[in-house]
Amino acid sequence: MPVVTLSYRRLAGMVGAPADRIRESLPFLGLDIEYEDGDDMVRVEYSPNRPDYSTEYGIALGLRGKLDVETGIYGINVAEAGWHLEADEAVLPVRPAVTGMVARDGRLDADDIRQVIAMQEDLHEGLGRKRRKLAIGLHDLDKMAFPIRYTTVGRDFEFAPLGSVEPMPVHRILSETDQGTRYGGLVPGERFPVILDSRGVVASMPPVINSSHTTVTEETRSLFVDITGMTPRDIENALAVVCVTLQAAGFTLERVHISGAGNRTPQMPAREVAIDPDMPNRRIGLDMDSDEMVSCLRRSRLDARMQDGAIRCTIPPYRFDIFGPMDIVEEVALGYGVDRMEPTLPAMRTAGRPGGVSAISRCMDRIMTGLGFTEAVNSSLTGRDVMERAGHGDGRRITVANPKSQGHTTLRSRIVPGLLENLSRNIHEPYPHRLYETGTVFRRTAEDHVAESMHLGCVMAHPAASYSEAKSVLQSVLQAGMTTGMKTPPMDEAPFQRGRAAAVVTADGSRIGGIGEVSGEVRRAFRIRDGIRVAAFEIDVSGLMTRRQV
Amino acid sequence: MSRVTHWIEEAIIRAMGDDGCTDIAGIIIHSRLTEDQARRGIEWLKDKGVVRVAEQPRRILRLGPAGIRAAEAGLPERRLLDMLRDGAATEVIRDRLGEDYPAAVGICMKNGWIRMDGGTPSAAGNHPRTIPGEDLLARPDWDRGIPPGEIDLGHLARRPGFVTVQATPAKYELVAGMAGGSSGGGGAAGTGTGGAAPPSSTGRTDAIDVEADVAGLHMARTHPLRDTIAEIREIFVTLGFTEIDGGLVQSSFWNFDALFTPQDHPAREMQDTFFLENAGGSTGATARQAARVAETHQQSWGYRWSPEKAAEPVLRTHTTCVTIRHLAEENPREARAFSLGRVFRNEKPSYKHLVEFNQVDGVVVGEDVSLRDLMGIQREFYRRMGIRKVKFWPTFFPYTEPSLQSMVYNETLGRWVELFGMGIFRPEVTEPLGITRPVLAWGGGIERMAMLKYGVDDVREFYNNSLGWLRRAPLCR
Repeated sequence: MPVVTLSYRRLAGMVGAPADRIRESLPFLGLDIEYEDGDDMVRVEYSPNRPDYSTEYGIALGLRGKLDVETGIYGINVAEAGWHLEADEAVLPVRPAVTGMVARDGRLDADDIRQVIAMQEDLHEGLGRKRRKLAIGLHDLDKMAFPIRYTTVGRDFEFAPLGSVEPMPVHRILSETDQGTRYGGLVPGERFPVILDSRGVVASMPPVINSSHTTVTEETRSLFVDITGMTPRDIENALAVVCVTLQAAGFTLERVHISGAGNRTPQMPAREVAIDPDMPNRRIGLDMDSDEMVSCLRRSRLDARMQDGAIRCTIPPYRFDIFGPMDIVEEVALGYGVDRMEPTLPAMRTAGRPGGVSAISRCMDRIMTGLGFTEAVNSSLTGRDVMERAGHGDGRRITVANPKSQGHTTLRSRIVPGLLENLSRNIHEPYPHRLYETGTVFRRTAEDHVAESMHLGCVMAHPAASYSEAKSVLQSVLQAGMTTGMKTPPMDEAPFQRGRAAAVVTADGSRIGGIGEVSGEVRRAFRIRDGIRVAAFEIDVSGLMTRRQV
Repeated sequence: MSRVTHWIEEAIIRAMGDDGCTDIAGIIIHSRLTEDQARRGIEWLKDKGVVRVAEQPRRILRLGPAGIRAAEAGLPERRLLDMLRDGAATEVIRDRLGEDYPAAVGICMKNGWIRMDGGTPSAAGNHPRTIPGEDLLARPDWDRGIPPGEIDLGHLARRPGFVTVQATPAKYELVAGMAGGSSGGGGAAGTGTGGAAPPSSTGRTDAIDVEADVAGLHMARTHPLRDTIAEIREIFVTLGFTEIDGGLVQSSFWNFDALFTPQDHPAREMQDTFFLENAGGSTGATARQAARVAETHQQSWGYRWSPEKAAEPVLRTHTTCVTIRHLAEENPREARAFSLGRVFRNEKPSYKHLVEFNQVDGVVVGEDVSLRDLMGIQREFYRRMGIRKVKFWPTFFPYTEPSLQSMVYNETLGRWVELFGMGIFRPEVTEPLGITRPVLAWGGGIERMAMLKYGVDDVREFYNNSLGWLRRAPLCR
């Protein structure tokens, strides 16, 4: 979840309510308090579907509604001032969509700038999918000459990127700057989109980097915002968030007329969603009249009215997280206040029962603990070396892409290697060690699909552990758990010692596993002390799942 | 209490404690020690204060063979006088008294009870009523022995074989609370530390030091994490929920697409989700399900939905994929179902995050189910887990609307802890899958709850399988 840092003092000023009321209200807006410095600072997590909560300004709007200071839609007012932006056909194959807005006569201190940049970064990461779907440029309006062009340039075109005084060719910006190496991959061709002013001065090369010329500082009074991307829908959604934030921060918005390459001037219309007034009551479990529902919606900063037996709800453009009636139900719930809802326990009209897999492991638990074995729990996504030390070579191993931890790269095909690893971590504990585990193992089928089955693995380690001991245990397991006898024809397979290993074959002839004394080589690989012998077995217990007919 | 005892000492303690021996002869018989070993061991134990002398050895008087004969048949002089009175022939008298004849004649002569006439005795006519010594022989306490100071033996003392002097053996007893090592229990190592008290009425020493430390045992047990899972399962089942099993490897379709997670969603990147490198799969969806999900995604998120991406197998990131698939297959009018098991996140493991952990999720389907019902079921679940203080906050999940999270108060930590998330499945989830009734859904990680339960502050502890911890962790919580 994204995070934003807030000041109680500033919020109290913007909301017009004391800080302690703000503090207790934050969680009920869906803002999770993550950290407080004990003084004025608070860091909250907000939902990725609410980028309007990425700044204090947006959160203050929500709090004003929640605390009944000001309810209903916060309208975005856009004035006409004759700003123009023209897109070239050349951008179509690269990054076709563009939009923009002018915000005038505001004042940004260092903290405001930090917040606006945080909003920009949040939109880049979330809605923008790391700038692929949209990128936002914030510029000092006074450094730019209109009309603006959105076009493309070649590799050798030069401008001074953010953080540099000297002009650099595009190919060097892409290879040498931090932003260039990170986002250059999003514009892989030979032509690169740029925002140019009427004098040919570069404002930005989206989605990679801005120019140094138009950098926003504490002296900046008016902004030009460009947003580029792949679809008009995404960039206009982002623009709506930018607009509501900047207006709430004290700027006056002025429309930029957009044309060219299929682009249009943003209108950011409000939408309407109608909902049966019965629905919020039924889904939340309340009994509100329509007036109360309307005021709940207004506290959630929407407009609503009853008309023709339906609640008609008006949604501002920055609330693109609202898809349909169930989203309105949630807005009613939030406006009502989750803290006011008393839980109810519904009547039970179903009979429950545990699943088949748990029945097997429960059966194994009873048998194995009865035989004196303690249960171990290991990851089924294990390290390659654990399987290898147990002598399970490459085979048809199943691995995951891009694992972040070397200990979790390979789906286990056996349980016993993990148990041997457990023995190796317990060599200082008094012997005997007797461990078992029931769990899922994985196998790649002939069609390269994954097949899962349930295995029981078991190890015993002490100075006199032997094949016979393991076989005695296994025999009890099979008699008690599967009511079958077994045959143990000789087998030569890791991790067992040659001559002291056998396959496990049930009375009906199916081979379900292996048993043996663990070889000295494997014991050494798991750092098990000389003088401690290890015997083990592993069987497939999935067969138990087939319920016997009574 | 611990004490080093020699095996000889242990054998003696056993003989005294278990077999009730109190003297050296009994100890030798029951312990099978030699007399020398037994005497030495007793001395050691006396030095250690484990054994003390209950009765010192002492001298006593008992009847010798001649004394016993006299006590039964009378003194020889009395028998001589009686036979003379009865007119017995000298030869008969001589024969009957045997070796006692000369002494009998001597004593009777000396006391003037007979006369001798050429070797033939005859009564002097003053037949005595009592003869000295007869009263002594009649004492009833000769069997036990009579202390020498208690009687005057008179002439019996000088007559050979009438009275002998004997010594009684020393009697020993165990000092209560001092005998370490053995008592009952058949000698298994470390089974008890029994000190023996004085002999009981049965003669056995069976009281032990009930306050002494004993050796620890390691019971075989199920894993604490699995115990927590079993407890959660039981709560769900008793609340009317049926468990649904499902694979750990799932298609992206059921793990993501079916739950309204767009194909370019950050959660679907390799940074967060495990995709398999060398295995393929299918969506596992019907053509109709796939088509309707595609349509919903395209409408809501505005992108071209790819069936290939939906077919990519992943290690499931939650168990909800199992429950949603079950609902899509059944479209029940009314149901309570849950799924429980391992889920995976591509993270670096830390004290609070695991790559693979356990999750439970549940659904309630019904025409009239509400958000408050969902809160009520949560509260009931927590109550049964022993958690009393619960509150709910709004939050966001891609596939539920409205969405809540539950916070529970942990007394030990002294703060609120976030546990399960919940909500009502979005229509964008249910409608394309043909689920026509509202579905309450919730879920969350199990390890976090187990951490609170067992006071574990590093979640990796559950997967270390440290025997030291497993052997110590409480079983019933």
